[in-house]
Amino acid sequence: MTRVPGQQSSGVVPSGREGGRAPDGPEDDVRALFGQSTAVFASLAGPAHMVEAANSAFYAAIGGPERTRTGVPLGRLMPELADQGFVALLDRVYRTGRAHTGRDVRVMLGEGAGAREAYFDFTYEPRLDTGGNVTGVRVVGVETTQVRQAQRLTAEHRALLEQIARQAPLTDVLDGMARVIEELSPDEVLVSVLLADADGRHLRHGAAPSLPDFYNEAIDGIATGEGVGSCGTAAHRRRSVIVSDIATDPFWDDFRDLAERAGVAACWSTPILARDGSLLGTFAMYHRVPRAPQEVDLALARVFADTAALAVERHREEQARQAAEAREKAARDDLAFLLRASTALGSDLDATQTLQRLAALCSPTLAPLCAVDVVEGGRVRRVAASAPTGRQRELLASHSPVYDASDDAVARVLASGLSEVARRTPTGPGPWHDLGVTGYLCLPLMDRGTAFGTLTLLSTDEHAFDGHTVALAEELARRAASAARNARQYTHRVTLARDLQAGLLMPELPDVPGADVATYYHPAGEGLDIGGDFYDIFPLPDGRWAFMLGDVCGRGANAATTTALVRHTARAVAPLLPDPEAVVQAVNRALCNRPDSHGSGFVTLVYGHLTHTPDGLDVELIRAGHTLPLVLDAGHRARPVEAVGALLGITPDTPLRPHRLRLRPHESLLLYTDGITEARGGDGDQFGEERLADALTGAPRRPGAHDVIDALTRAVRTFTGGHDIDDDQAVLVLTATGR
Amino acid sequence: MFSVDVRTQARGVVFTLRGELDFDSVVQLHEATERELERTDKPPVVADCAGLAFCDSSGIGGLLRLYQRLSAQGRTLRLAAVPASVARLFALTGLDQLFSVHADVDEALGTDTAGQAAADATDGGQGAIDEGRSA
Repeated sequence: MTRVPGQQSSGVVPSGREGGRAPDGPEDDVRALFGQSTAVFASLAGPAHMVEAANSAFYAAIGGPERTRTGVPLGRLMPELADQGFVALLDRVYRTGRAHTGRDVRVMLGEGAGAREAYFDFTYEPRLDTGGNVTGVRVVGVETTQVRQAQRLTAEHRALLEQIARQAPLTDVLDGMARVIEELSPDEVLVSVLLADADGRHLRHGAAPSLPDFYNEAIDGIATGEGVGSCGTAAHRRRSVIVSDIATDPFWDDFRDLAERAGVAACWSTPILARDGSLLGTFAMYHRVPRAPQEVDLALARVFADTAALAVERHREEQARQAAEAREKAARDDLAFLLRASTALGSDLDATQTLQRLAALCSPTLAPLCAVDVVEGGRVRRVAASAPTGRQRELLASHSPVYDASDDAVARVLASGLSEVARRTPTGPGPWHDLGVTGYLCLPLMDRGTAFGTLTLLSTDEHAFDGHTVALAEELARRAASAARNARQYTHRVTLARDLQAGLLMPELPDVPGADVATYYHPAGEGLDIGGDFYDIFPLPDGRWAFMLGDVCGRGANAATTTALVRHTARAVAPLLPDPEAVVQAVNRALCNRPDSHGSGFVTLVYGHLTHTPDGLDVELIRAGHTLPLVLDAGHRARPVEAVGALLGITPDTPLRPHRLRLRPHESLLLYTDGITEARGGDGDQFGEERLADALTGAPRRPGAHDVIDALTRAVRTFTGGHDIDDDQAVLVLTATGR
Repeated sequence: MFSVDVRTQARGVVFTLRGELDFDSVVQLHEATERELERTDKPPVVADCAGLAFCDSSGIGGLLRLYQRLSAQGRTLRLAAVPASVARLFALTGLDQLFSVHADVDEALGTDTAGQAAADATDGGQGAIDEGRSA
């Protein structure tokens, strides 16, 4: 390392190296780097310190061949010593006869451009004659320059390793390393570190603090390959490549001009290899003059190439770890998003609201603009739109995709059931320009293999759909489709139940001559749970009217079909049969003949015919297992009608006994289901027949049918205290009007 | 609250009904019925109604179903210890003519002829529309 100017092939060469033996490994590198210091010796005589004798190491240390003379005062041989105080030291030793020792003393040797800094441990000893008189000074010294430099190198190297351990940014580590080498080298050397990209085919700029920018930019990205300068070739061969003279070496044919402009004439490149032998980059030392490396240079290159390898590997590991962490976090975020979204989507029983929630979830999280369309009645209807501003939302919401057009993404996706994504404005007409749409993603909403709608996400400005967003959107679309499907099924069922129920009930009570009719109906269940209570009033061909009120044993859709059966059978056969008994027998047979479904087919019923007479209403009725009808007279007294008959649906030809009664004007016949008498009050009591009779006395004088109903229902509501009822409640009141 | 306890005895199977038999609990009676019908032997069934606090139209439907299903297998259903409120319901719906009703389980489990005599005594000899009643 301590190369002496002008001595290129000799100089301080460690012993054992003269034969040019190849290095054995790190030990040799260290020895090569740290070099070996030698002892210098000079014998000076007289007060002028004339150089009587000296060893070659002395002459080599002080400056080489021109100074290799004897018989000259030291002060003249080395004029630079005077200013540094050494001559004065020699004078003192000569005068006092006492030796002087110096440790690690700095001395500038040589003059002008050739001057170099060196450090010595030395002793000035007095030379004595036989009489003990001082005749001169003996100089014995050991140069410690190399040791100092070795120590400095070690310190710098350790600092670099610490930087690497601390995960300092890679560019800082490489830059620092380059500067250390440039500083520690006695000659001007320019260091360049290039980093290989992942596939090992190109080298990118890593660190080159002293090379000009235009040079670094020019070689950034060069290919690895045979003949591509020193670095490209070294990277390709995975072995050092030494070019001592750029001007003549064929590897530099393409880069010669560049090198000349940058002022470099030699380039030694060492590959930086990972532990598994893969290429991480190259480490190059440039020189301004053509030069071949010495052992010391090569050793230096190897040590720092290893350090660079360590830095790069650590850096890559850290990057891989961060990427894995980011991926994991992204996956966790996705999952959290999907969970929140699923909860939000599943919380609605209304399909349209579910799809509107979907649009709100997608925009702006997945894309700036979002629209949801569904197919209804052969047309496409936009049910949801979401955008950053109200105006954009309006624009988006008002656009209607055309169902059949082949140039419409929504139509295509509906037909194919496949997603479509593109990084351009959608084809076909639409407010794309106004909204600034730059891309779209259209996903189908599937129900059992058919698309019933689409989810469209639109990009604006810089937004783009990456694989991750598409996957997330697809998952969201699946969940939304499922939630919407469930909501629709529920809605369908509720609508069905409502329709069934509506079909079971009479929307309006007809005008029955001579009678005031009022009804009350309160099913226990909601939505899907429809009642098993029913009532009906219809005219007969001969001017009589038929009425009925009944109760199917059970609830729900099965009960509903039974009530339909009873009502429709009665309505069908009543005009054809002579009396209520025949009608009820027919109903009973219809119930018994029904194929055995797992619902209940048992029905309690009061069925009767009424005839309008000048005196009031003549009633003939059949009670089949039902609660006893009540007759309410003008004085509000309630009298049960003790008609006999078992409930229907057990066996055909059940014994039935008709009962006849007459309602005088203002008298009422009241039919009710057991939901009234079995209604529970606050302390668990049932309403019961007594309270029923009592409630009726609260009706006004000469009550209309509605008054009777009101009195009863008020009493029941008060009794139950507004709690939910357990069973359906139905009441039918017929009051003779006397007209 | 409702429970059905089914126990096989020497002279027949006893369904002990406790609590309120209504729309929500009748499913338990259905389940017990289905299990009972799987037997290979065909003993008569007695429904012990002593603990039956309440019975509504759904409960009626459940009992009728039990009755019909047993009849289809040629088996009899007898009721025992029916409380007054439930007995009234049976009278109202005409089921007192259909079911043979007995004072207690023992009586209900009596031999066929004895059971017949007891039932005749209880319902006043009006006879019952009981298709499954074979000696």
